[in-house]
Amino acid sequence: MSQHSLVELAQSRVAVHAEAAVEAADGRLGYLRREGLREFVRMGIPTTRHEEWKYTNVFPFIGQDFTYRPTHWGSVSAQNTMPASAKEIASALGQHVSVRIVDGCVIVDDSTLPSGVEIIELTPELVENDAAIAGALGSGAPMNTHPFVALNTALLESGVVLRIGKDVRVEPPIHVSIETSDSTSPTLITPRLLVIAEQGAEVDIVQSHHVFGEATVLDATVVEFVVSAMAHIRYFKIADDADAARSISSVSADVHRDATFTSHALSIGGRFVRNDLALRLCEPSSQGFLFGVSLLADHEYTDNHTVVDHMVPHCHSEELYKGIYDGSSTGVFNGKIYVRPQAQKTTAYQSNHTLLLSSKAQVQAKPQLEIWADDVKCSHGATMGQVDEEAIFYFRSRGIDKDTAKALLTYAFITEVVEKISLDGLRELLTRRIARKLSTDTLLS
Amino acid sequence: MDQQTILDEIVGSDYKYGFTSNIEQELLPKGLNEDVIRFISDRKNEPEWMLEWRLKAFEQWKSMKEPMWPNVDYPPVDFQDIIYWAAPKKKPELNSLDEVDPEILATFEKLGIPLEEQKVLAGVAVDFVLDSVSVKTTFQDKLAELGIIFCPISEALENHPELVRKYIGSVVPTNDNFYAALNSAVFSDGSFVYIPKGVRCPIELSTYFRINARNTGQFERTLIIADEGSYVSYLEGCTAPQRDENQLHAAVVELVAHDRAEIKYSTVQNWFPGDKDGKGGIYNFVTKRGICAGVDSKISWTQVETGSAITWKYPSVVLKGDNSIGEFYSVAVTNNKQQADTGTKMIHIGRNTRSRIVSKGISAGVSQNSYRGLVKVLPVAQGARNFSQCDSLLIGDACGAHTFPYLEVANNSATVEHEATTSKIGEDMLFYCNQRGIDTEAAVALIVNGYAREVLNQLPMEFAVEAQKLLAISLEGSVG
Repeated sequence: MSQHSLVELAQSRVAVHAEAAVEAADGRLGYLRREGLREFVRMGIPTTRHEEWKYTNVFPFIGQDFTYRPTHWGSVSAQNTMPASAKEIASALGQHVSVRIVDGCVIVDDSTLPSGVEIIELTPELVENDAAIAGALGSGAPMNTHPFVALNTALLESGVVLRIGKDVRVEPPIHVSIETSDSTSPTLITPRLLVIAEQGAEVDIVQSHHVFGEATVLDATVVEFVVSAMAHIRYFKIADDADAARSISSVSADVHRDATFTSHALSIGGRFVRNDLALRLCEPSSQGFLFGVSLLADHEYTDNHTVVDHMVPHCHSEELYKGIYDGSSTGVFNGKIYVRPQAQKTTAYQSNHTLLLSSKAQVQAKPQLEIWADDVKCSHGATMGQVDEEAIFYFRSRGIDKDTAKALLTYAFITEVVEKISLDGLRELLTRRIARKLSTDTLLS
Repeated sequence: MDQQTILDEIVGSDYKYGFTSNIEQELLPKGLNEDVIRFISDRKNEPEWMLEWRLKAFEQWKSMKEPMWPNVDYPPVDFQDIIYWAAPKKKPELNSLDEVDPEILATFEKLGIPLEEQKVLAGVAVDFVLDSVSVKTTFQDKLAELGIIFCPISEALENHPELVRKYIGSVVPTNDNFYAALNSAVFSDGSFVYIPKGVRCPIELSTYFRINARNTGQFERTLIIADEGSYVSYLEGCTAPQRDENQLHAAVVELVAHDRAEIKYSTVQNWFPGDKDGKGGIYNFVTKRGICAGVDSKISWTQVETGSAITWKYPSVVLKGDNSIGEFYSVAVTNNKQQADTGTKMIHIGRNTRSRIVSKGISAGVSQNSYRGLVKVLPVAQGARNFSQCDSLLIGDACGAHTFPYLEVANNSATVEHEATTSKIGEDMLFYCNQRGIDTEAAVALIVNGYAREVLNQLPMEFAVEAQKLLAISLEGSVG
């Protein structure tokens, strides 16, 4: 497979389609691809002079020539063995629905698919024949402002559509495992997921990323959620990537009347993780809850960008992101609460807390409020500091040594967020992982 | 009084200090080129190095672009459509107030700052800048006894060139930003303060700026140096006459605090904000920065911003000396079509440096009020400490309040705390007041005053009174 720079890649793929496409079948998908390419070329690769990429420098790895692994559907027989890290999550989830994207190849195990849940291949025909999917695809993802969403869209050939039927409450969580096998050259993958929860539906979706090998893997995943009236989606994104992974993922969710969207961005590691989350509360009484954990060491890097857009009155959002940074790691939090002029009676709260464990670790935070309505209650708080000396003293006065006290307090600091995870198995797994990374596992057992 | 009526009154109030004094003026033609800079430098009898410094800044300015990142919206400024030099034709040689142009005296009266009364009662020395040339400096002799230099910067260039040369541009370099470069090239005058070692300045130093002639940008340059163990409190206050054309104001203020020195800089800014349709008004693009160069030094900025059509201002402190302290207290009120993008920068370099930010924004009418601040802790700033609080109060449903804090911490012994809230005046608070016989208008006044108190308390006594007046005028109809 030949290697190309990102722009060449996107251009050649779109050109291939333009030549081959039968106009009628190309339709909306073809239009999105061309728009995506145009926007990607227009914006280019973001530099650190770009306000939204001020702290996120992609240049050390972006200039490489990438081998592209396009998204396509395979059969169950093509299934190769699951990597250990993915297996660990799968077994923690217990009974679940498995969707694997292995080197771009989508493998769905529909033997466990509950009734009312559809996992469909995204094809030009599907987009043409299903108005709901056509309307939702590309409507939430910020193609005009996020260069990597534009790239993903330019390369949008196939993808996964998850549809939860009306009033269906899906008991087993759906596990989307994005795996990239060992490869010798830099690899690009652009998985695309569209999740539509119809009225009153309820579902848990766990998304994890797994990379093996030494060569860089640029993972530009885009996920779009449509949370219809009274539906509830809980979404967990786990980053525990190897050194080679460069994950730039963008998630958008449109939340309708009386619906809730809950997101957990769980970064237990990762050389380079950039999470963009755009939440739009587009009908009254919709709610959004965003949680994040970043536990970094060595040269790891995590950047959480969130935008909560209050478009209408009477909506509520809450945001809690916590980070612990050790080694030479860097953590970034950029959270924006945007309240539109008509969105009266909004309540929006955001907080971001950080512990710096090492003298070489860094944190950059930009919690923003943009408020255009007056009858609102909005706040944000951000702190950066160390474990409370007085709390350590309290432990020591009771005969617990300093290191243990510090470890326990650090662990307690981060588990406040982890405890919000409603899936028992996943919560326990992450608690164990965190304890292991903080080397507090021996203390706690 | 119902809420709508109150809102209408707020929006309806006009600028109280709109008047023009007719003093004969000497003007340069509009436009900016090297000759203009040479002319300014020549008229002020500046030494050769100063002219070179200005020309260098001008070269830098030509290659710079106007900053577009602030959250404000205004028609582009035509820098060739500005008069860069205006001075009263007859430079008065004054010994007593009697010799002052009666027009100027009348201006004092209208501003409510009778000079003679202030001399006696308030103990404030006033360096009155009318457009570009300092007209009157008082208390100089008294200060000279202590070795304090308080004079127009042009005079300092004649009498103390070594001091000016050492410090000018040391905190805000000529190429710092677009407006600082412009100011460096064309600055006309401003104040110079030097407090010698161990001296505590016995009075509050004060300068009143007024923009007076039509189409003149005013480019002040203020330089304050507090030598080891000294203390100074400096007050700056502004009111400008009503104008129909936008006027540009691009000042630079530099503060240097040496070992154990303290500088307290207070501003009450009430320039013409434009009428209720957003017509006219001052563009206030100011660069203010102080450096705590020595150990245990302290710089404190306090500002009450009620005027200007557009405000773009970030008084900052570079905390270089160990144990130094930086403070920023701000009340920013925007009404009608005013836009303000203001905040601070605290750069922690020294060990155990501390900074505190308290910013209170009040938006009314269809105005936009933004806080933009940076707290940066460098890897060497062991034990740095910051606390920031940014609150916004919204009056009416057509205004906006925005917060853009940047927190960058690269030292694990640092503690940084930031909190921000946005809300309107609570119905329950108003109800509580109403219930006790306080009408809604008085209740709003009470609440706003209480809300801003933490900052107003930081002002020197004389200024606190004026600041409260300004708050009342700015939000007239609901306050007072």
